[in-house]
Amino acid sequence: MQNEYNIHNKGSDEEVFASLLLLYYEDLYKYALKYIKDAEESKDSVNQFFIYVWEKRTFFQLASHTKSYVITSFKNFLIRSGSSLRQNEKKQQLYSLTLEDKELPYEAYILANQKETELKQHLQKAISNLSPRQKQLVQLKFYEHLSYEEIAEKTSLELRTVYNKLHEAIKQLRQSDIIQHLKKNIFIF
Amino acid sequence: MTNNRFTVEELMLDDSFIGYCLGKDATDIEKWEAIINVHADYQNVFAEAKQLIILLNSGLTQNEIDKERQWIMNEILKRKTFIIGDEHENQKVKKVWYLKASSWAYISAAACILFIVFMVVPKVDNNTAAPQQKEVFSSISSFGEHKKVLLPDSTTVMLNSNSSISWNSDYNSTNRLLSLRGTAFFKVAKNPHKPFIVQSGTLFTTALGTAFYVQQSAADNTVAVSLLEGKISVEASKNTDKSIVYPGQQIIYSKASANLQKQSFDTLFLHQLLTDEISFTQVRLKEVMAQLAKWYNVNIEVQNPALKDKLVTGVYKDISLEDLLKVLSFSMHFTYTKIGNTIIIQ
Repeated sequence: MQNEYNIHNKGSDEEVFASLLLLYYEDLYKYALKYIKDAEESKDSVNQFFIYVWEKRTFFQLASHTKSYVITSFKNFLIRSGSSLRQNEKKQQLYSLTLEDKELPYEAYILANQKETELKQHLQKAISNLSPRQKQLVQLKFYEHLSYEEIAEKTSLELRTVYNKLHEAIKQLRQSDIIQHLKKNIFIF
Repeated sequence: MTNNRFTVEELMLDDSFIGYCLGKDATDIEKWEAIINVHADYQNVFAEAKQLIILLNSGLTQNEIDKERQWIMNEILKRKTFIIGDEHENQKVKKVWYLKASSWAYISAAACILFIVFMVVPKVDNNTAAPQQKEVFSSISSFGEHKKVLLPDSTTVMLNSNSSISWNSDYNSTNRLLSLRGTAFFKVAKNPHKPFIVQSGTLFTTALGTAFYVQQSAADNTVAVSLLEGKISVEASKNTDKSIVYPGQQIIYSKASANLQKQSFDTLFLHQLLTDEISFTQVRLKEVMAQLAKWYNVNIEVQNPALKDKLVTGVYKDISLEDLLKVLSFSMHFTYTKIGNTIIIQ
């Protein structure tokens, strides 16, 4: 996958921008969810961020850590748009105005995201039955898509332990009600 | 997986299988589709693993993301129209934009946008038909610039120096009509149901999915249409005979005699133009300038005879004529001035 995009020079065009969108849309969306806790509002803020980037593209200098750079820019963008929307009471509740990096529990993301309520409940329950360590590992692997090496580094566990614990966690998830629920729909795709 | 025994747990812990489930990586998708096809007896195992991964990812589906991307790209294309308008009006629209879709402000923004569009229409579109209720989009390249434009149907256009294209909001509804001033290369997205038509003055070029170059020269009042791929038909005005052009052929239309003439052309130049990379190894300056003139569709005159035989070496990619001249003039000690469409080197 290409990680280096130059959107800072005049030669930039829509095609480069479109691939940038493809690469980072979901990451930014998930990031927005942390603070905005509402799927539609989060999508809106990501969309507006990308339009903002497009308009300011001459000022953007993408260096080697493109992803973290984009996420930091997005965070600043959220803070700015959050404070400009303060007069609106509903918005004030949506944006936690102190954007410090505190994590929401994994279940909260699920709650914001899944459309089907029954499934949502089963999934929430299944996840909350995992041990805190298992929950953390499942989240890092399946929500944030980190590699095993990155997870090992982040949690200071052995590579092998990460793998084994995840294996265990999946096994446990599969013993919950969620599987019965899935089996009903299993031939859908 | 060499042992051919698949378990839900092992599949879910395989990074490439995750890539396949979330539709992120073409290689993974291809690989796993093939594996799943061969192992029909493990159908349920694959299905369960895939569903769990999608559930746990709990993000947006590829479809949802595509929908949002489409929306953003459309907004951006719309925005480009305003750049032609007055800077001041442009600012206003930008500010209103950041308010939320649900609020009243959005409605007034929409009204404001419509208003501005009507202001812009007569400026950009006074020679094509019916400027009534349609929004007009355009894209303009400046002198010595190669500008790439992506149209809503994912056709790409490369505008050469000092050119512009414009199209209406109903582009891609029944057909795809564009009007061109200047010179441009078109790589048309395939769609046999919606003919792609380029109007350059009174000359109409129709294509169904192909790559061609339209070159208008004001000096001798001609239009040249050169074809790289596919098939196009060219007509001198709406009701004359069509002339079919095949790859490697070029048609020259002279406005004075309203006459179409077919001939073959050098496709290599067009291929080079498309990569937007130009290179010279020990080439005489006068030849370099002749190539650049063709490359940017401008006239270049070298007046100082001492310069003509100096040798140039270099590779330039995605560079504007102005930047290139700056580099060359600095290293080879010459000055240049621009008069109309002509650059004079001293």
